[in-house]
Amino acid sequence: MFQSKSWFVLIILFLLAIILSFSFGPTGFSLLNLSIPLEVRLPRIILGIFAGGVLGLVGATLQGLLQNPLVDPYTLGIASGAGFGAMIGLIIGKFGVFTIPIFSFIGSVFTILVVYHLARIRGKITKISLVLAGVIMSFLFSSLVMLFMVLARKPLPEIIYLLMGRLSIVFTTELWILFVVIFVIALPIVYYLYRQWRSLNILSMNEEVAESLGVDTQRLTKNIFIASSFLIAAVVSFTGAISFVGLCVPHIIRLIYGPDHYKVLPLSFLLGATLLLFTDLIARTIAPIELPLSVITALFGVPFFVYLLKRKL
Amino acid sequence: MTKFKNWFVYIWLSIFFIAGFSLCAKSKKETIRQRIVSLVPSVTEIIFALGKDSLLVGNTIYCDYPEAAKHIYKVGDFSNPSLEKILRRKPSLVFATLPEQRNIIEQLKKHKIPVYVSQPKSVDSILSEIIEIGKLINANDTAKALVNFLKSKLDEIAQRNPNFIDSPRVYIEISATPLMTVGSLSYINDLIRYAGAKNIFGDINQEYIVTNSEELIKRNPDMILILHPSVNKSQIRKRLGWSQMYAVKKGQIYDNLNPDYFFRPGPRFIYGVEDLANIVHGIWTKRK
Amino acid sequence: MSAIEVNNLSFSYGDKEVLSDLTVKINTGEFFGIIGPNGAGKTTLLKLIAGLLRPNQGEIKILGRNLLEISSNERAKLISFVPQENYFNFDFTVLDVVLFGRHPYLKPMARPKKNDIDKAIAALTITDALEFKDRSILELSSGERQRVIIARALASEPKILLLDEPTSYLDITHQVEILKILKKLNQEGMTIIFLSHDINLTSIICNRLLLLSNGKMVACDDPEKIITKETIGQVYKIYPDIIFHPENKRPQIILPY
Repeated sequence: MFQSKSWFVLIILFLLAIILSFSFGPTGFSLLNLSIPLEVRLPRIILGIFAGGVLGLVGATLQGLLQNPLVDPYTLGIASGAGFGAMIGLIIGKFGVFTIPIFSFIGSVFTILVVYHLARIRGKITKISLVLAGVIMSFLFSSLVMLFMVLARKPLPEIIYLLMGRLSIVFTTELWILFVVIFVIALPIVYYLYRQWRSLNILSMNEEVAESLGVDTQRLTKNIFIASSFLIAAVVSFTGAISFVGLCVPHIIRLIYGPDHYKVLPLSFLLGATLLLFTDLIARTIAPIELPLSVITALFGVPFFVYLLKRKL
Repeated sequence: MTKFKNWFVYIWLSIFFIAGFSLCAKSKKETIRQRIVSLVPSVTEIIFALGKDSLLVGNTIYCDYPEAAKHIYKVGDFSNPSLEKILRRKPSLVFATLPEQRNIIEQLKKHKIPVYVSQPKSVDSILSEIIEIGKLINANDTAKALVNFLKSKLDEIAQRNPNFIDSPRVYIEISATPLMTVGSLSYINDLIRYAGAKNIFGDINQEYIVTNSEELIKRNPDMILILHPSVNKSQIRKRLGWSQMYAVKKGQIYDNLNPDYFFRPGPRFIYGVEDLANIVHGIWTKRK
Repeated sequence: MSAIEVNNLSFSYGDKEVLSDLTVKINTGEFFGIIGPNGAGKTTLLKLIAGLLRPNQGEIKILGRNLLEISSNERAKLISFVPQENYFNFDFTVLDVVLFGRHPYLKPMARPKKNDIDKAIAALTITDALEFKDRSILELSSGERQRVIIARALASEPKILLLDEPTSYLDITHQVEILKILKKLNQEGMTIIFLSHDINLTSIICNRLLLLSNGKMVACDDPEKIITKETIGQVYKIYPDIIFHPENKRPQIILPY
């Protein structure tokens, strides 16, 4: 079932993306002086792999869990919560380089809790209530962000940055250590999501069938929701909201490799990371001016999405 | 009886006051006096500098300099002033700027209210705007005097400049996430030039520029100026890869400038030029 | 030992009582039918037995063990449930879908092994659906699909099969097909609980019937004793004529004109 050949192509592309990202940049590349690639490009590449991979994986997981092909990792309101958190951080105090990551993470976690409680109706979480609660909170937090932007006395480029997504966060030593810690915590969570592959397959049938086969859909929904929220909060707090990767990547993978989540989940991670690295390569080789990643992902993503829509209907 | 008397006194007094107020209002209308609303903090500063602050009937909550500007009627904030509040002040002239205030400018024009758009792109245009504002608010002579003063200051700074073979190359950071700086279309670029330095992004024809660490390492500034509160000198040193930059190696990082001197194209720009020139001369002391 | 024992079972959705004080015993190897008008609580009873709902009162015993004490994984190996409505959102192949039935036997990260694939193929053979094992589930007709769904239920190797209206969307050709499959399974020892609106169908195929009305048991007995003008009339408020099937002499209703 698992064709090694199909993996092969993706892995080659992934390695190519890493090599290109490592060797291209304004200061060029020379094997004699690797300090700039190592100090400046490598952290960016690792952030890119983490962000793109998590977006692809969580997109695939949530599309499988909610049985809704239009869900993306931000549907649950996490990105707007992160924007709101960062806004509060910028207003109430100065925590230096930690302000944006820490506060947007708190904002996401707060949103997750609110969405979770809104979605719980008589002790049960349904897929529809989860999506609805997420969308409602997105609207609320987007409006609050707008409101605070108006009340704050300066335009806040940090907020626009969070809403459009970039890998260009400037790492200081402390910030890099924080990122590595989060990265290490995230790995078992990524593996946990992958472990749910068969349950996600079964969920493509009737929920009752899944239940009768021993899949505890309530617990599964809750755990996946919490795990994906943590991962997305971690990503958003460093890169801001990068659109379309989480939406499109699982679709591409399913088109090529079929719907089996055993393949869809890891390949979505791989393709998400690859696409984000290539996107970032474009975004920063147009330097000296950096483009927000969502500009590029949307330019590629929207036509693809229109194609999907026309094909499905 | 006493009750009736009281009533009579009240009514009589009220009539007296109403008549008095309406007469007062009438007499005010007769003396034609400008009523100015300024939506731009730098223009507010110019009007104060020209001694015509008594004409100001409204400004924004961003207009916080000088101290007295804080106590003028607020018509909203910089990016979203309220049309209704502006109209209520019955202005004869409104100062606004682009592109942030495009909407309100169009609406004010619909209400036939004269709008002056302040949008300086260089030091020269700041100076010519001061002259024009002087004409508009009947402070011609003061404006000329102010401009002459500013010009003499600029000359003085220029003369103090030693003859650099190469002017020091400056990176001005206006935001950390994302890394943002200014290009040639910003008057800040001009301020740097007048201070005897060179903006490392002066070759890019944009007002604001989002950049990244590696581009900065490539452009390798001689000094770094931080114009935002979210990072300080020591954090800049800890940024990965930045130790490659000349400015970081030599400790040429400055984080205690007053951003308003740079972000407000009003008379105080001269302090910005002066502070920057002082840094360039290596005789930087914090302005009290 | 009885396959299923339902003792004093009550269940309500919020304030609305759907089942009240129901006691039924279903023996191993029975082909047991549940009939009754809309809203009688048939599907609710089936879902309670399948462990999808928790009783408010009373208990359900599966092969002598309290249902609540059986883990969901173990339960899935004992009972298979075929719901009335079946959706498929992704185009899995027929074999993939049948392999879902092996879920309770597999460790989280384990792929189906040869043994599991053999079991799935055996299940497809029983339901006569092997020929389209590599086709997408989304391409099948409803008759073919129903056979796959039953194969999926069989792949878990259950002792008890619960079916909620398995024939309601099928034409008579496919209805008979499904009934033949079920009959064969029953003859091989499978306990089958069959829920249907179709009184005549249940009468032909089931050896015992439970007639529910408004959440209460009206009767639980042989088809001959339940399908009478009086009992049916009392529950459904119409009084059909009864004739007898020429082959197995089971009662059949004829709707009044």
